[in-house]
Amino acid sequence: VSTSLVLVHLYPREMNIYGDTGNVVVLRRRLEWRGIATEVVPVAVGDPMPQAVDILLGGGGQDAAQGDIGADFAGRSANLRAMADDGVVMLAICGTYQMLGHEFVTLEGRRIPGAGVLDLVTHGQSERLIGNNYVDTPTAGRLVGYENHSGLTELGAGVTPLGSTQAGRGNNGRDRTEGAVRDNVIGTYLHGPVLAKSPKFADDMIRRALARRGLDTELEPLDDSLAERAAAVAVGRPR
Amino acid sequence: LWDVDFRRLLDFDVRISTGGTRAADMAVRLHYDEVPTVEIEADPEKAVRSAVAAVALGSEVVVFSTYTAMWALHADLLATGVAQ
Repeated sequence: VSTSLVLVHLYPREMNIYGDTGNVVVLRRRLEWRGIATEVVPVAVGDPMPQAVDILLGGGGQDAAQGDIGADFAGRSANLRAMADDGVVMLAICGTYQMLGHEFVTLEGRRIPGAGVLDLVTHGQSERLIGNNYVDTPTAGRLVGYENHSGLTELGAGVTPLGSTQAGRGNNGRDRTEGAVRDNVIGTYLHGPVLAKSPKFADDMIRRALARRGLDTELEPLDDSLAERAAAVAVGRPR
Repeated sequence: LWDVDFRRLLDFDVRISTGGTRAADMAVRLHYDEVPTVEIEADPEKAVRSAVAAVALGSEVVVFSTYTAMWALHADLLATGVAQ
């Protein structure tokens, strides 16, 4: 493949909890190992968004950090919607996932507008959903990760769940859904980093990005035995 | 761990093993920095013992441990007479 993919890491400093940066490392290496050149562009508060983005990754953050980026993120909302409409592949974890929705309503009833990329709304609550979690998806198999969030997310008709999970876990602890998908935009509460133990999921994102460029290349298989072993250990571990 | 660049380890000719509950996770992390892991052992004490057995007499074993695991490992090394 004689092309170079642009991979944007959104708010690498503020939105990087539980090793979410690892998703960038995993994708970059899996592309490199297939001989696909990749440029990783960190986009921090105030930085311009590159013109041609193939993949955008955003992680989770402390609530305080989400306050620091609030105004900057609001200014990017229209562009993020346009990018999503254009088929840009996005992986949004936890805080970034919530921010891609319509709004976040705090426990006190304050409404923080999101980017409106994903048809979902999140409500803050006093209890947190915390623990290891596995999610069965129709296309990428079982995803393994860790969740820790106080926001409960309700999906609208414009998204489909990323997968199904156990009771008391996932988007809201009630409907056994986890994450949301719309076009090439994927949101999830899974930390881990999720792509480290879910190589099929990582390759699914790479395939989406290449297909959007009109490159339906077969991805050379990689030895994922370590990731599979780590995933098997994690599934058997309660916390 | 994903904010650390482990590729520096490739500058050294060493046998690398991982131990503990997250031994496999750590091996995955190293794998993504192209650092091969020789042994993945869920029991950290076993991992250290086999590292000690793998090196020549008089040479070093370096253990990077979490604070929690350190005391148990230290006690085990004292018991085996490896640590001073």
